[in-house]
Amino acid sequence: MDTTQLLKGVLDVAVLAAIQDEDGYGYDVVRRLRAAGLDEVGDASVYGTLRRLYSAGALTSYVVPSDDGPHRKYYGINAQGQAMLRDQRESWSAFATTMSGLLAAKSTSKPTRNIPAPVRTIGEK
Amino acid sequence: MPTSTLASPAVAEFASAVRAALSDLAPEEIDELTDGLEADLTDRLSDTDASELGDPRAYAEELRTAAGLPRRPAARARFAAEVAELRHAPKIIAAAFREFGAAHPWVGRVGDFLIALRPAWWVFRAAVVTALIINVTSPGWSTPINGLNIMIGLAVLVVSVQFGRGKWLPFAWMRAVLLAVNVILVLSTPFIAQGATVAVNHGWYAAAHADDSGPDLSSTGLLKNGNPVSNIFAYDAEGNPLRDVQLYDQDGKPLDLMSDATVPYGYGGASGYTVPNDAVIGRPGWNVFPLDHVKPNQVTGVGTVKPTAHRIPAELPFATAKPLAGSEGPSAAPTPTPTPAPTP
Repeated sequence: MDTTQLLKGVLDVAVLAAIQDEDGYGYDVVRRLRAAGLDEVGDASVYGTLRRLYSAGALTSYVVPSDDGPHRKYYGINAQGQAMLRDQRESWSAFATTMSGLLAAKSTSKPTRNIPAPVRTIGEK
Repeated sequence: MPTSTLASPAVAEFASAVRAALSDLAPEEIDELTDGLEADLTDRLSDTDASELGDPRAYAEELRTAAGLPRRPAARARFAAEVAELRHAPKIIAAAFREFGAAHPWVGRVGDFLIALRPAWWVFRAAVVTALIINVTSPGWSTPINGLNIMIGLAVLVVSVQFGRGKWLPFAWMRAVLLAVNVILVLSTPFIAQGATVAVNHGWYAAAHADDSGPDLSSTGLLKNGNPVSNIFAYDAEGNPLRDVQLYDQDGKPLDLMSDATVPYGYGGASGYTVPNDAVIGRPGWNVFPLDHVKPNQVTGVGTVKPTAHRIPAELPFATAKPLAGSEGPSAAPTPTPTPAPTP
């Protein structure tokens, strides 16, 4: 399975989790995600996600000058980000449980790929 | 250990390519998206063995997609969007004017004044267009005032006023044409005004000189059958030529050869120029005949006769004329001996 597709849906919560204990700059966050096992995460996807979470008010941001290179932009989680992380953690847990149960129950039979949509009759809402 | 605070050339080049790929976004958005980009790229290069950073455009697309920003439109779509933006230009300019007017009350007063002047503009526009139509359609320089031209003028006036009131403009392109006509008229108004000034001044000049010069402004004085008389030769009853004959008309005015007595000389035929008799007191002696001549080389380049010019008597058409009946002398009646008449 293409994990980059799965990653898209959970990148927000993954990034929030990566900086919940310690502030980090862009590549720092990428490193943490890869260290946690998300090898296929793209640099630019992480930076864009940080940018979007910041715009949504979930993160704080500050620039740290560097003595030996270009300045770094650090991101930290704030109260709104913590609340968002809590919600998404619960959603993920419920979803993962559901999926795990579903996949475990169907593990003996081949999963149906194409489930036909129910026929909609005229006048039906 | 790198000591430079600048990113490596490869990183700087990649970062600027990413920013270029985001150039359709607002500058602040680009800054926020790419702030710290050089540091991240530098870390990535030092962290991995990869010697190159990949495709900056793909990187930029990933960046903007993850940030929840719209994808970069295709070049044609961007062009179409920019053209579509241009359509809003009049509204934007109008809004800017309104904003300026709100901040400066005098703009509103000037605007009200100009709006009050609009009918005058409609009439002026109609007058200029009418003059153009008549000039184009009628031959020559004259612009005759006749029934047809008055009808044209009234029709153009009605159309101009209706256009000005926003009537009779069913198609959008007509408004565009009207706008073009207005712009051309505004730009050419200085020239129209200059032409009108010249015409009016010429009219005043003609009116001011109508009394003393008569309707024929080209008249140079005494005429015979419409041709100017260049000199007059008088003979007495016996046919002898007379000199210094003063002539007056029925009103007692001097019968001047020249309509403008102040001109220094007149055309005198092949032998030179006629000059007024200088024995008349108080005025040029243009009514004392025959007028003397001066040689053509005695006239200066600025149109005056040299003070030292030598006056020579005009050549007589006849040495003597035929005597009148009853005035024959004792000798046989002389036959007039014609000399070659000076060509006028």
